[in-house]
Amino acid sequence: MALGIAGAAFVGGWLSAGWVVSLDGVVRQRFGGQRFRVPSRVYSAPTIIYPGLDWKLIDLEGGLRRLGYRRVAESARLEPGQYIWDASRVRISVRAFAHPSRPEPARDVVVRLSGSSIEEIRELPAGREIWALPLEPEQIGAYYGPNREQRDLVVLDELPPHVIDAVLAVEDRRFESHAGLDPRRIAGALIANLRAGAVKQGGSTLTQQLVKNFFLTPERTFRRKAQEAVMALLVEFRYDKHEILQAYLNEIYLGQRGATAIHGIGEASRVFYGKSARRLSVAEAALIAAIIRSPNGLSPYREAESAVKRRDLVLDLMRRQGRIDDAAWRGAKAETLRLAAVTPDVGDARYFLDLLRRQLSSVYSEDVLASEGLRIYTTLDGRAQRLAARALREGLEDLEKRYSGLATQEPERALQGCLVAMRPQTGEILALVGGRDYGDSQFDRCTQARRQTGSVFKPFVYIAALEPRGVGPKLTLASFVDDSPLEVKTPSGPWRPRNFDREFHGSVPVREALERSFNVATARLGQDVGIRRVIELARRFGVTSPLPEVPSLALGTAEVSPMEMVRAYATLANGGVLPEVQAIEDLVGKGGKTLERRRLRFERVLDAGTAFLATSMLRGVAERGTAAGLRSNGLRGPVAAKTGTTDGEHDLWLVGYTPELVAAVWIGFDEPRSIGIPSSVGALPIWRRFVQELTGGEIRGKFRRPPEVTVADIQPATGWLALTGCPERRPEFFLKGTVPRITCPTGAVSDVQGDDSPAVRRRFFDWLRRQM
Amino acid sequence: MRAPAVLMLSIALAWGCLSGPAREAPVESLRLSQVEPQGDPVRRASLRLCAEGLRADIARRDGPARSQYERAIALDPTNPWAYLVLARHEVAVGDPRRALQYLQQAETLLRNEGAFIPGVEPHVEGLRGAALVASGRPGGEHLRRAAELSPAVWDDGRLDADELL
Repeated sequence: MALGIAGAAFVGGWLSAGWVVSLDGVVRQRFGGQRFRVPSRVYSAPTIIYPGLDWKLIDLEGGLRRLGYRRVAESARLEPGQYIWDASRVRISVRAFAHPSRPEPARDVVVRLSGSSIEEIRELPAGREIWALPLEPEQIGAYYGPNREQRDLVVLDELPPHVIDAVLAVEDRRFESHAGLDPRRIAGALIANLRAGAVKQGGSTLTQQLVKNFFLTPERTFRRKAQEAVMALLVEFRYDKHEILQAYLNEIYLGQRGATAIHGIGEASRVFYGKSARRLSVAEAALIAAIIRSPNGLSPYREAESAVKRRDLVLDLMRRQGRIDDAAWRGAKAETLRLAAVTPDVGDARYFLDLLRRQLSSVYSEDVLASEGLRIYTTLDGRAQRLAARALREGLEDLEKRYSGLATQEPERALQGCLVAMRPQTGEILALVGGRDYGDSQFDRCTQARRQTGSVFKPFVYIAALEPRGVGPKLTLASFVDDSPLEVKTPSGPWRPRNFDREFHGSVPVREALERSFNVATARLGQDVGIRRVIELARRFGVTSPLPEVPSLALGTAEVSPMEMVRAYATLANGGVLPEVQAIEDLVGKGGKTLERRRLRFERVLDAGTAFLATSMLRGVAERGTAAGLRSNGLRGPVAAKTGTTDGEHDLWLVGYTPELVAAVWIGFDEPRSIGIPSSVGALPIWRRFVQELTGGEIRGKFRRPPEVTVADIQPATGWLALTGCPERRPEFFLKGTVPRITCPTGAVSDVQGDDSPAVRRRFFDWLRRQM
Repeated sequence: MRAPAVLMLSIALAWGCLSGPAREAPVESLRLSQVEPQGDPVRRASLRLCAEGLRADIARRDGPARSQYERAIALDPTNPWAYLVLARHEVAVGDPRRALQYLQQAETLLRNEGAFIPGVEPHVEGLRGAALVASGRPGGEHLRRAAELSPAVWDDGRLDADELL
């Protein structure tokens, strides 16, 4: 019997030892390796403010709030992340921005306002004038792991003592002295719970809480409780208090922000107060410590009164335990709750985040992005993104209201659209909205969809004809094209293009053919130039989608993505220079080292003169042609654009540009069916609204005429060069050396070029010879 | 009366042709500080960022310098000077291929703005020459022309940041 008991004890002892050893292995593995998964954060491009900027247009105060800046009373002494706004000036305590190559110091500045304009910016107290002040980039998203945990790691030694004191006062006052378990606390909790007849008080030490969160499931069983106790002892045995406390402060769950879980003091400080945990006040630290017990039930956003009540309890505990003196206690208790604004969603930047993820996936795995805490600085303009998302969403809703046949109750069958905007000179993506609602559909119609382009492809045909290759261009802007019936033989039978209005218009000026988007004239021009040449040109413009060599290609029957089209049009806005698409500015590792840095890349693919002629034609489309509606809301300044409506009105496009912005809007159903309206009604208002709101209705810059282009008067009816006596005339642009030779009014041939072309020089020497 | 005048004109022309291309008088090469006060507020802010970048370049802080240039472009993508100072930076840090791209952009914008004035030409010529030579291609002609146009700046075949500020 005794032998049996001894044997059982021996076996039990071995089993227990084995269990403890296995738990020890778990502790060492987790604590010794990477303790935390830190999601990579993604940031927009910084907003730069400067004298002369319209602060109302950019919504300066809204921007500050989105960055977590807090408005304080005029008398207040400013702390980083706060601002004082009065009638004619804003004092901002700008936070420091840590970045390996473009760090910004914390500094107080005063921004003087005059009307809606920023008059000047000066640094305080020295008064040095600041010409351009970058604010920190706005976080637009993060790459989470499956648990969607968000944290901002803190280092214990960098925290003010009252942050630690607040946590210890309420969660584990004997943390420094116990060995992982606190018998007095357990006994106290037991008595309190027996008296209450329910579980009212926990007996867990801070180490036990850490173990529970780190290693165990939330189930309440004796076995799990035993595991927790043993592991707490093992953690205390293997690691020092400093390490345990730091791990705790980074691990502790402190509530939700949307679908994201806030973990750790650092993240809570950033979310609640818009500041680093290093700068938390006593009252702020006490509030964070107060909500540890019930992060959602005591959320300072939803349950402010309860949260403040418990904060005061924490402050009382701190004073009672001698962790703060009376003065600090009084000051903290008097402090009102001031929370940072809840940052609204940055215009559904999730399509953009997906694009980045796809671009980064070849180098950084999903797991690395979700755990390594990279900082990804992007080209996205937060304001442009918000405006783009709103313009698309409300534009589609408006169409559904006006055309009831477009509305549906099934989100997967809803009318869809996308909007992408780019800076033409650099290829930087400023806004990308891949669909009307990311929640319903994650498919990015700007980068992943290829749709028939319709007439937005036509400029390639005209550019191919305008571009001088070898013998000179086939067309000038004074030329006429033939819009009479056309039949082209194809392997599948004769192809007879028709115009939208079912009419033929005979010989029409080339500008009119594009402005009114005549199909027959364009198809004929495509045949004259050669479809192969049109394809070659589109390829030079960065179009990579398959382009079948068929006559109808000239009318946009090929399927191309909006991103390809926006880049191609960017090339025109950029004077014939194709930019490489840029989404990332740089990527910084968790050690603060730059891992990737974008380099702007561009390539000239078209001479500046022809690019200008194309822009001039597309300006005509926006002034007089199918995109003339762009002006209807008072949009001022240079715009070039082209509409596109495919057969059966399955796809509606508007691709357009200003000297500094190019944007494409596409509208259609994912499973193509007729929308029943032209692009001027469907896509154009969305583009117009976006650009109007982004620019304030006043577009900056000019489409400048390059030196290769000259101006000459022509007779509109004939395209002849208008000389004195010609009854009608209008100026037209020409590549140098291509001014018409037939002159109005006589119809005689002339070599007048109005420039220094070889013909002019030849005539000079002829004159000289005659004189001699 | 008309024949002698024409004869003299012809002789003058012939002399011009025979004596080859005239050696152009040196020009004072342009500095950023000369254009900095010009333009609308966006351009001025962008130019000032370029100036900050040049100061960072002078202090041999490559990263911040480039960042300022890129910000200048982000603010005003049509600012030719931003591409020019970025081209200079790339030549200095040893990426001539990139420098040539920026230079092309700078030249296009300068010409479009009508700002390709004599004071700018030595910079464009010299940077092109320096970038071509650095990338192993013939660029000596551009360098010689830059030195001819602006010997004070281009005699040593390079453009320092302080010579552009």
